[in-house]
Amino acid sequence: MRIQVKTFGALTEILEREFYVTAGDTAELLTTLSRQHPDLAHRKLLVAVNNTIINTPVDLRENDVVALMPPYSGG
Amino acid sequence: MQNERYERQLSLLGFGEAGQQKLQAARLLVVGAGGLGCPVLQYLAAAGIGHIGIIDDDLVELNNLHRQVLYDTTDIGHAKAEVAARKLILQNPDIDIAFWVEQLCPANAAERLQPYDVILDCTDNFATRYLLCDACYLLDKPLVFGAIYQYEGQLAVFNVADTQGIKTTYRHLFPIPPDPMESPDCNAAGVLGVLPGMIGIHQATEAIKLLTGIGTILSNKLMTINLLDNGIFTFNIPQTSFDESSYPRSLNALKDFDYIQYCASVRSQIQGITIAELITTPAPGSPSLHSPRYIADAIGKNRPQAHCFYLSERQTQSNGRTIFLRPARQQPTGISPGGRHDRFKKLFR
Repeated sequence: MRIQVKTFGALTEILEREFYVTAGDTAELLTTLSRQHPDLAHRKLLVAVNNTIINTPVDLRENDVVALMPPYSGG
Repeated sequence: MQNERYERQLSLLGFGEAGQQKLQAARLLVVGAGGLGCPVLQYLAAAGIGHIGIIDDDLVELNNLHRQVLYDTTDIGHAKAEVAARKLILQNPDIDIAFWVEQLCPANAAERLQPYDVILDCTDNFATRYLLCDACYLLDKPLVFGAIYQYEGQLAVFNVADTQGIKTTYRHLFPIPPDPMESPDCNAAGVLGVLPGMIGIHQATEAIKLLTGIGTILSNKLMTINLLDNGIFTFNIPQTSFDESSYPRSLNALKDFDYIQYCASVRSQIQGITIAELITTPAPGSPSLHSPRYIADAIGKNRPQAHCFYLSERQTQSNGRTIFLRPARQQPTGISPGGRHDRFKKLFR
């Protein structure tokens, strides 16, 4: 499935802010991205599919939007 | 209560005298009187929140003033909580303000939070954020959360039930703290001065809505704002389960829990090492560019004994090894004075 990925915060230093990628589910997506960018592997990320946060792998459909967001500490 | 002071909001449809009385009766604690805390305090004091508490152990510095607009140049070196209280009472003598020049810590958290109806997370480090998250959950206190990074902000209201009775916390977003170097604070990463103003005003707005019952609050929602492209997203936070074994689930356990260690030790390979040791101890593996001497030079060998850092290493694709320095336990966030982190990133990327 071709899906859109949006990234936030310090993740944009590693990944483009918006890009398209092919993945069948969120686990495959994260594995692919971590392989391409080893810096990602240890990161604590929030994953949201179509604006809902998930914490277990979710199947992806064509044109789904996946958001990847790190925590921010600043105040 | 001086009605003339509040007449422009008293005349609001849906707010009125009843809304103002709710604000007047409210007790609200602001944790952190920095970038987020300043606008939160200024607007909530002006709005007539009857009882405001401020807790912050920090002093005003010159590099705070571009964003912490409650303070002026003559306040440099003075305690933020005290200066804020003094200025806010001039802004609105109708209200009570209590302040503590101390850090919120596991030992004092329950005592400080207990008397208040609503808590605002205006902190700048993960140790205090996770402490607040857990303490507010255990005390069942609404927590209005704000956090910033460079040009982007996050907002949410935790521990407040939606119409289905569902409540979520910061742990539903990030169950485990990140490595501090993954999300550097404003000292290390920089911040546009207006950003905490915007996010703080959103936090103050959510607090007013929560107290008066007007509008819809960000309960079980995470809102993000990006100043550069004006992008605003709102994410649903489902009430999912996660491993609760690694952090305190009672107020007694919370009192003895070391959040600084907890937030600094998320990676197993971390070890404590001083800069002096870095200079004399050979690095494991090939020293080359990343020799201890090189690291010490990079972070400023003028004060080799001044800071203790945690050192961790991991493989990267590009140069074989990246070395991250993290702040000492006494300084849970950032490497201050600012700038060294940036130098470091450039050196090791």
